[in-house]
Formats: sequence, structure tokens, C-alpha cells
Amino acid sequence: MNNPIIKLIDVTKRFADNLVLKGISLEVNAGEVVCIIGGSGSGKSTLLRCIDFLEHYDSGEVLVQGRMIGYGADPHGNFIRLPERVVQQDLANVVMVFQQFNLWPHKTVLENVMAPLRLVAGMDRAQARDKALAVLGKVGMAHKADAYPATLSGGQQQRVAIARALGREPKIMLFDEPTSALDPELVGEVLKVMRALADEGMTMVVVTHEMGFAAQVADKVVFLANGLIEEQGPPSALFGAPQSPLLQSFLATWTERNGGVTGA
Amino acid sequence: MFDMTVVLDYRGALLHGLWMTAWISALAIVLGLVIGVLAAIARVSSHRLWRALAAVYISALRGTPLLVQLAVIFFMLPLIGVQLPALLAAIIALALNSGASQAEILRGGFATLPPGQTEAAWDIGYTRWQVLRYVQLPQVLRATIPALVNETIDIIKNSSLVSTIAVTELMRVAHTYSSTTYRPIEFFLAAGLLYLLLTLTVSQAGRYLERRLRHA
Repeated sequence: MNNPIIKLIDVTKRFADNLVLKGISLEVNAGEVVCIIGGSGSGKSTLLRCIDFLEHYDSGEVLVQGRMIGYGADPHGNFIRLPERVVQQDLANVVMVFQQFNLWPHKTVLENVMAPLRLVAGMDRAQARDKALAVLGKVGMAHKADAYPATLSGGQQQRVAIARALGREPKIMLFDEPTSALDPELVGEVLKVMRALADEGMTMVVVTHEMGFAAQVADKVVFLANGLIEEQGPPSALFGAPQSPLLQSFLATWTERNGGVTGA
Repeated sequence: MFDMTVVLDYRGALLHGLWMTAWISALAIVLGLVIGVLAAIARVSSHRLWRALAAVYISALRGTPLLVQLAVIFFMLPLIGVQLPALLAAIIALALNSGASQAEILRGGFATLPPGQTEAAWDIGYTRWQVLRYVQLPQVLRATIPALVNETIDIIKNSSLVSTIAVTELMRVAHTYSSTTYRPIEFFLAAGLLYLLLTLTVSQAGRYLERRLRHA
């Protein structure tokens, strides 16, 4: 496949004096699952957030389905920030699942999923309701349709957030440490849903600390360190025979704490 | 001789005054909410001009007495050719005054919202207006109900000041009849009790609303 669905070319991002991304180039093909790993402060969340323009990258290019995200040329050929609506249209097939779920606490589970269907997709109430119940069923949360988010466990909230994202019928899903805010016993139920999505051929970019998930589900693992891609490749290579000393020590530390890259 | 029964002869006028006070305050609080929402948004806008205008409006209206604001609107606007009836001037002054306070209350409410909720809404395709209307405002209003109820009570009490520009609300009625009957104690006490009735009703309604909107 020489036509990647996501393509990053030399992307940089600076926060004040801190150059967080120092030039990232990355390709993701349709249907691939790419896991991004790395220590805290390595820039992995920032990288993910640049793809759907929650962070505005400073230089380089982010291309989704061939369209440059966030920037373009005006009619006079000047390079400009594109209007928000244009950016949102260019990202219509991309949704993010967040570490903190970001459900709307004043709405029930069903309303959380229905609201975007009504407001963004323009469905009528009955249509939106059917669709919402269908995606909630898919993540095993239809029985909690009338509950408020605060009454649910973290794992349940994250599954609802995934359902809300699925309602948009995305082609690409970005996961920003989707299980990092969860109690250990709740991680599995979310990973199971993600694995099912991967099996269906969803294109996924996942920032994660779940090495077991990365090892088993990813087509490609990207190791980020100090704002650069230090090493990338199939999980067997990265976990089985890491080349870079930084990755070796990262994995050694991780193994010490968690006991091997086999679980999940 | 203290005798509360004298006010009963004037109950019609007093109740009419109470009614005027109630709807002048209600109108002021609702208009003030609209102004407050706009000012709170302008206050955190990315445009410097909006931020500056909102800051000036808020500090000017919160830093001067309502009595002065009433005087400016009622007595000074005619000097530049804007003639307002007393009732309209009163409502505008109260709404502008309350709008500044409500802007500060709402700004506090916006600040407590986790930014992730807005991000998630934008990410999923909401326009800025939809984010405001369907994600932020419902939560901000819920969170600030106690403060907004207090503000409503303040407005009811402050509305007594519009009696100075000859609006016949509760205070004006009490004042008028206390001088014609020479019974100031009875009439001002009656007015006080009626204000209390109104403010207690509002605070009870606020508590009820808070309970109903609280879940989980």
C-alpha cells in the first residue's frame, strides 16, 4: 500500500521553550493498528493530538486521506490556518478517544451518544436513538443507556466514549492512553472492545502503556523518545530484538514493573 | 401607636408594588443573564478588543453604586438626546448592573469545566456555538445556581433603589403611604416583610431547582 491514510512529514511542535516534537515522519495505512509507546514527556500524546489538530503543529505536514490538516493556501496562494469548519470537515473521518473519557456529565449515556448524531450528523430523534443503541450494544453498554456517566465505572465510561466515537462512523480512531485512568481490573474490558475494532479493520493509532496489547494487536509499534521516533517496526522486532539503547532500557524498566510483554 | 392594621387599607397598592418589584427584578435578572453570558464569553475571547471591552464593562458596573448608575441612565442620557421612561431606565440599569455580576459568576463556572469535554465536542464535530449551547452552558448554569440565586436576591433588594427615579414599586409605595398616613414604621415594616416573602420564595425555588438538577 503506497497510499497511507495518515501521513506525517517532519512534524514539529513547540510549547514555549520546549520543543516537544522535533520532526516526526510517520505513515499509517488503512486498516493498520499503530501503537505509539514511550516514556512520559516523550511527545507521544502531543503527536497523536497533532493528527486531529487538537494541537496545532508548528511545521511539517499532517495529511489525512491526502488532505493537509489545519493549514492550506488562501485564494491568493498565501499559507494560512484554515477555518475551524474546514478543519473539522477534513477530519470528519477521524475521532479521538481520550484518557479521561470526556463524557458530558449532565447527559445520560444514551444522550451522550445521541447528541452528536443529532447535532453533527443531523439525524432525527428516532434515527439517532436506534443508531446510539446499536453502537452502545457493540461495546456492551446498551443496558446502561439511561445511566449518568458518574454512576459508571471507568471502564464502562470509556466504552461509552468509544460508542460515542463510533456513532460518527469514523475511518480512523485515535486512542490517547485509553486505559491509563482505569483501575487495573477494568483495563481488560476496554482492550477487548479495541481489539474487536482492530479485527474489523478499523485504522487505529493508539498511544498506550499496554505493551501486551501492542504486542498482540499492533501491526506496527512506534517508540518515541525526546520528541523523535527512536525506533519503529513490527511488534515482534521491537519487543523481541530492540535495537536502540533507549528502547532497551525503556522495555527493561517496563518488564521490571510488569513482568514481561505477554499479558493482556 | 404601633398598629399594623393600617397597612391593610392599602394592601392593594402594596401588593401592586410587590408585583412591580417582582417583575422588574425578574426582567433584570433574565436580561442580566443574557448580558452576563455574552460578557463572560467576551472576557475569555481570543480577541483583545472583546476582552478589553468586557473587562471595562465589568469593572465599571461592579465598581460604582447602583444609585449612580441609575442617575447616569435616567438623568444623563437625556442630555445626549436619549429620553427613557423611568421604568425602562430602571430595568436597563438593573440589568446592566446584574449582568456585570453574573458575568463574573459565570466566568468562575466556565473555569471549573474540564477542558477535555469541550475538546471532545469539537473533535466530534460540534461548532463553537454548539459546544457553548449543549456542553458548556448547561453545566455552568447548574454549577452556578446557588450564586445566581444570591444574585437574584441582591437584585430584588437593590431594585428598591429605583424608587428614587419615581418607579412605583414596593419601596415607592411604602414611602408614599408612610408620609400620607404618618405611619412610617408600619409601612416600612410591611414592605420589609413583603421583600422577605419574595426573597425567601426565590431561595426556596433555587434550592428546589438545585435538588432537581443534581443527579448521581
